[in-house]
Amino acid sequence: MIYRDAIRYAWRGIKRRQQLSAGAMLSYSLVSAIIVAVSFLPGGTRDAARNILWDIGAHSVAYIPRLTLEGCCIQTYSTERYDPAREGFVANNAPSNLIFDEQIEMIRRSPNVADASPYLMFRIRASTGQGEWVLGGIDLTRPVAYSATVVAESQVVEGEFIIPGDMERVMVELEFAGRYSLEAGSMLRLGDRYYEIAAIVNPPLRPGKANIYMSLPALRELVVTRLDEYREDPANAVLVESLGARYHEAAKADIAAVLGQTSRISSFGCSVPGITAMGITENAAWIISVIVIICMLLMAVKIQTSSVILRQVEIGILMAVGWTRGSILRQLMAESFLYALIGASAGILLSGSLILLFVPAEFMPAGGIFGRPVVWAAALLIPVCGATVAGMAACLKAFGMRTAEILRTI
Amino acid sequence: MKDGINMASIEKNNMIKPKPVIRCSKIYKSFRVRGRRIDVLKGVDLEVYPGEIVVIKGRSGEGKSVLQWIISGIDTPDSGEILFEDVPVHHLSNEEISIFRRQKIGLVFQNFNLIPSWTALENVESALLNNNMSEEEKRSRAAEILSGMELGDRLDNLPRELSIGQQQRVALARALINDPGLILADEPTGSVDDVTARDMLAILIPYIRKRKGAMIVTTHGSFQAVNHADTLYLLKDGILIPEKGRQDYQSY
Repeated sequence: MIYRDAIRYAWRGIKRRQQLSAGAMLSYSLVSAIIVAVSFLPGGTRDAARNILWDIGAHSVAYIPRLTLEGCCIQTYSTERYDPAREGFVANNAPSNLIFDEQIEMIRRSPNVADASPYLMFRIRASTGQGEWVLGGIDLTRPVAYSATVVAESQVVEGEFIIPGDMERVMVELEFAGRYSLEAGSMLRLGDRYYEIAAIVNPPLRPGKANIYMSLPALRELVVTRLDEYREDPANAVLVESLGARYHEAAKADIAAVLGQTSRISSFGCSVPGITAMGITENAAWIISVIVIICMLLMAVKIQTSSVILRQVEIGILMAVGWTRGSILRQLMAESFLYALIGASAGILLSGSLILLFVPAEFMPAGGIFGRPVVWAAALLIPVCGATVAGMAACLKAFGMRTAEILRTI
Repeated sequence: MKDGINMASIEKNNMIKPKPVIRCSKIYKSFRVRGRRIDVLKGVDLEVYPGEIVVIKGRSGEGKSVLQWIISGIDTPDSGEILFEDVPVHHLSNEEISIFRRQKIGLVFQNFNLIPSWTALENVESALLNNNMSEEEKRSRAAEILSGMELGDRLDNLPRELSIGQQQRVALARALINDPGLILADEPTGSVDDVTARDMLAILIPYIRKRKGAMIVTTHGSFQAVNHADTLYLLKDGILIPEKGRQDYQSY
């Protein structure tokens, strides 16, 4: 009964003191709205930006440079059709050792790796008789791995991207095509074979960059024709897509563990400083938000204590007619909680609606707007905690008043 | 039967004094104003008996209101003892004093002290807080007492929407709604005209007589209640000086 009375009197007070009530509720609603906004917007933009950064920096091309010509000598070279000085497996313009399917599978099984794909880079003497060309054999069934490290469909300038099963079609790099006046549909001789140019592509400078791109099986077939002894299904590089930027370093460590300490891993490291910078921005946003939230809560405290000062006559009269301190405390606390609950609900509703209406889905964190119940709980509980402090401050103010002193002033 | 004999004996012999509703002994109260001590009450002794109307006259600043507030527990004396129906008021906790005041004392103020933002009904109802009545019961009881004071059609009016006389009656309704044993009226007619003062007394005096309650009225000047006073005091220089003798109350 006493709590019902307190709520009833509190609700009446809120309705009667509309301006003060609106001020207090506005403070609480801003607190909730800021909590929701800061939790979703920087979180969403952070996730979206992280996705972008992942595209840039969460990939790597790993290979094992061959330290000496004799090295581990997995392959031997034909002296008839193969000139060891000019042809062979290269990665990053240096001779490299082979990497086999079981190693790639081990890398793929790493918990930090989203996908790993074999990549074969072979330097072949130019059919024009002068110079060498670098061929890139892509496992076209694994676009996740190759599109960010070697060449992507979006980088087609002319023609169409080759597809798995294309054994006689290749793509040539734009600068290469220009040098030899090649265009989509032209024929190109590689070794003893002719290939149709399916596309002219223009990938950015990457460790896996080649002059000519073809499917992995097609290049393997071609390589066999250039070597006397050739182990089945080789590759000399592995294209790795890390699970995310934050897993990138761990993924690199896993690759090194599989390929050995002599392996080289080329990757774009923008993600790490990028994410650090984003973290700084996000932290700054949080710090500013916390300051604003504290200010809003202090404002609510100020409004409620001011309200008590303005109502000292009312409080004095109520105490004179027999209201106990407990009654006053319950009423002030009930008012405070009602302010917080109404204000927080309004803030949550408003900010949630605005986010739903205006924030693109890609900026939303995983699970969407309802994916973070802890945010909604915080948006409600922090104002309620603030209301407890504000209510207590108001009560202290009220209890600091002496009824007799108040009555003397009336 | 035994009780009957005793009662008859009491009535016949008129021997037993009733207990006073309130007994104040050696009440001292001083204030410090700008470093200077001002003694307001200098050993006030007062007893008020059931059914008695005590009027205390005195000039402004003599401490009439202070005495009332001390009796009601709103203020505390520097020293002295206040017994309300033998209960030492000054030994009660803050909570107990508030409850005691709500249940036992009806306060009537010179300027009515109605809460401006509350309606007449709500002002009266405020005195019924936390007494285990439902909201409907409280409203009904407040409405009933207001209707009894011819304010049945003004329940939802704010004090500023009422005449002075109506405000006075709302204040009276609030003071009487808990059926208190003691009414403390501080300059109750100080802000009203003679007709309103007479109307107010027309409510209060019968209530006291019928209820066998007691009333302490303070006034700074002539006041119609003086005519109804059973005992009249003058508060001067911090002490109470009897002006009109107590009638039958000490041998009541």
